[in-house]
Amino acid sequence: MSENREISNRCEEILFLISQDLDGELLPEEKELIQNHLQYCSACSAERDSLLRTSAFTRRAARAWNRQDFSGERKWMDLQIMASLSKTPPAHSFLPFLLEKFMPLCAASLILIAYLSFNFFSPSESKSQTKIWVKSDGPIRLVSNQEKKPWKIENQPINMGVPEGALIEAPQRNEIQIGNKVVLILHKGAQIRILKGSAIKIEKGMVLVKGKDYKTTKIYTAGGQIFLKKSSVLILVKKVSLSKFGQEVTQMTDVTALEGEVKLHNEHGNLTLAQGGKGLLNPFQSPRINFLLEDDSILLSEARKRWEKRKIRSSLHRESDHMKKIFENTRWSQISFYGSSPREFIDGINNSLTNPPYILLISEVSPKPLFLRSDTPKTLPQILEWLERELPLFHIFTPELVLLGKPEDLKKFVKKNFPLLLEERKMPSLGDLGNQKIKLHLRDYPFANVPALLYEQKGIKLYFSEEVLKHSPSRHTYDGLRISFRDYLFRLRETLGVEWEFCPRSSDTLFLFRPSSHPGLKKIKRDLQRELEGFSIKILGKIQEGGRIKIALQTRWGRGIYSQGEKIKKIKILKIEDSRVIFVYKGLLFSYDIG
Amino acid sequence: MEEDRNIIERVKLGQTDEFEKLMNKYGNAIYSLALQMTSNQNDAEDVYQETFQRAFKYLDGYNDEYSFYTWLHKIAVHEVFKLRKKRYQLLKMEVPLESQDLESFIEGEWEEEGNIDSKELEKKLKEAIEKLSSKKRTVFVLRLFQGLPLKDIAEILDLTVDNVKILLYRARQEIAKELKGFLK
Repeated sequence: MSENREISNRCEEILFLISQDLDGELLPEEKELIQNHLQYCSACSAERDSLLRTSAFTRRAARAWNRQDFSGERKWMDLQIMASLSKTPPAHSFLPFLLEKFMPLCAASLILIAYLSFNFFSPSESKSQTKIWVKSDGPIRLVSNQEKKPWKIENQPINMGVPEGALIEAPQRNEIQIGNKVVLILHKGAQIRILKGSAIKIEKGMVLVKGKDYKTTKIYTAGGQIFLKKSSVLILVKKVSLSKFGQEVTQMTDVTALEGEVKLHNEHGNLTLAQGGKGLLNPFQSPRINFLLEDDSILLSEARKRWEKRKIRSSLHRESDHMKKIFENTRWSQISFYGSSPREFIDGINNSLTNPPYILLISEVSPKPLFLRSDTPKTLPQILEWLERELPLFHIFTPELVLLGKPEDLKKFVKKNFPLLLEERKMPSLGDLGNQKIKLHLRDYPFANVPALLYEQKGIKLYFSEEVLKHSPSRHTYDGLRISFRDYLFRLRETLGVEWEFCPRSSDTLFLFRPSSHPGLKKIKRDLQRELEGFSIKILGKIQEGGRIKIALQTRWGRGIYSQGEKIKKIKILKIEDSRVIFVYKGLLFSYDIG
Repeated sequence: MEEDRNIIERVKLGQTDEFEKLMNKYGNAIYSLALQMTSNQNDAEDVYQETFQRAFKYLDGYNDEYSFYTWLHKIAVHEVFKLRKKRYQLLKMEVPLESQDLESFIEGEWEEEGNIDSKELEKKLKEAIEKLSSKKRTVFVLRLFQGLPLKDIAEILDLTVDNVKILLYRARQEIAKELKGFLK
């Protein structure tokens, strides 16, 4: 025993030396020591080979990694850093140096800062703490006066950083014009506030937004905000680009009307947003309201069909006439997943709540409601009645709201938005969404694996917007296949018969979950069962350890030693007997003999 | 080194713009390090920005006995640790959003080389690096990916060189174990 230990310790020392050898840290005599040892120790030889192979591969990967140029990603950050440096000078004073070397520039800057502080803010609402950092490669022209003429920052290459907590405010009946070659950087917490009768015009300039969300650019994503008050105007003229990290983003600018109506203009058209409304501005399209549906949309006709059904069911409802009237005169709205995150969904619902009356389209995934408190009614008619009493602006067509997302996000969402109605999240039928793999997909490309899951388990048909698929990554791994999401969907349809369709128009947006007749469901179950029967589990051996039997398994996820009760992904080892092992997977039992 | 020293002197004298030169010179390495250490683009960006902002702020504290490159790495590593500490609870629950960054990048690289079979291997390497303990991962990345000498790594992590050697050895062993059966 002690001899073994000695050998083992010796081997450990040798392997440690081999590791140092990889770093070129060894003396010749130490190298010789290794060679001598390896001559008689096959275990160490094998270990050495393994270390060398790993090291070679890692070096190769490192070389590939280090060849990558991140300047694109860094461009925007570098700008920001340089912007912030002026706020945090190093400890040494540099004023004497500046005065000596750049006296004229210094004077100009001081004048400019004074000018900005004096002119940008009306005396009545002076923000003395506000400072604006301006970096200029040339003369800056900032035109302003008190006679309804705009503030102009134009036609000079300047970068303007609006620091955290700062505010640019256009006084009443005035406007800020951001001209060509101007980069306006909104730092976290910064705001541009446009008061009544004022406007912000961004003409060929750029608004750089530091945001976390890569998919849609919102001016306020990272805390920078543009507030538009009553009768304000936000104009994005042609070729305006919202840029981020050195890449042009041309998708959307999200605008929120906080107070009164807000008009949005661009050369393609105008739009009026009601108070509380949210709009989308795209430089290449007419502005549009978030979540608004066209009259002939399939979602709308679906909603109408459901309304008819619902109407019959609730004919005894005391407010039915009133509701009918509302229905007939209403504009319809859809809760959609733009950006497909719970956050967006919340925004959608909030938007609907502030713009009544609207219909909330809810899926029929399960015959029972998922979110209920103990004191809420349990039967379907009771629930519907209760909902209408509690939420008179909502017309609930089905009792279930399907939310897809991370459980913690959903919990917050439920707590915030449905304190009366919803208490806990129980989605056993969609339990796979809790799986990390799915979570990853949900977070990154939200619904990658959901179509198959929903169809397999619930027979739900899905609608996808082509526009969404455009944003899906061109190369990604779905279930081990490196294909685009679009191809993945087609593959699902071909191989598993998962039913889905494109929405006729992109404005119908992303997902409507609707029960289908799921003719292929039985077939899928059969296929699944067949797959399960193959199961790709191989029992490598049995190990007796402290009176317990363990088994060595080769699964599709790798090798391992497991004991009774343990789980390998969704496969549970129910029982290990002398001659066989029983697994449970998706409610099915599988017995394997131990060879 | 001498050039860095001159730039730093000028920045200290107030020529803030000179700092951009240092960012251009070392930005890629720091961003790359941040991305490897966090496996998440958003976090990497935060680390990157914090690193340079701190470097600027504490430029006076820079000891030119060490290279500026190493000093920056030290700040970056500390930022990563700080971030990890802050997000520990969150990280326990979540799969990092852009954890595919490294994977997809490496995938792309190999694909160009026409080595399709290595896909699984790259994934394994990435997973293996992510599985390493915080210190081992740092040592491994600093040595193998950033190419820092052991002495500098020891300085960055406030360890002895021997400690670094041991951590590196353990990290290599763990990675080799993870890749065993895949590398032939």
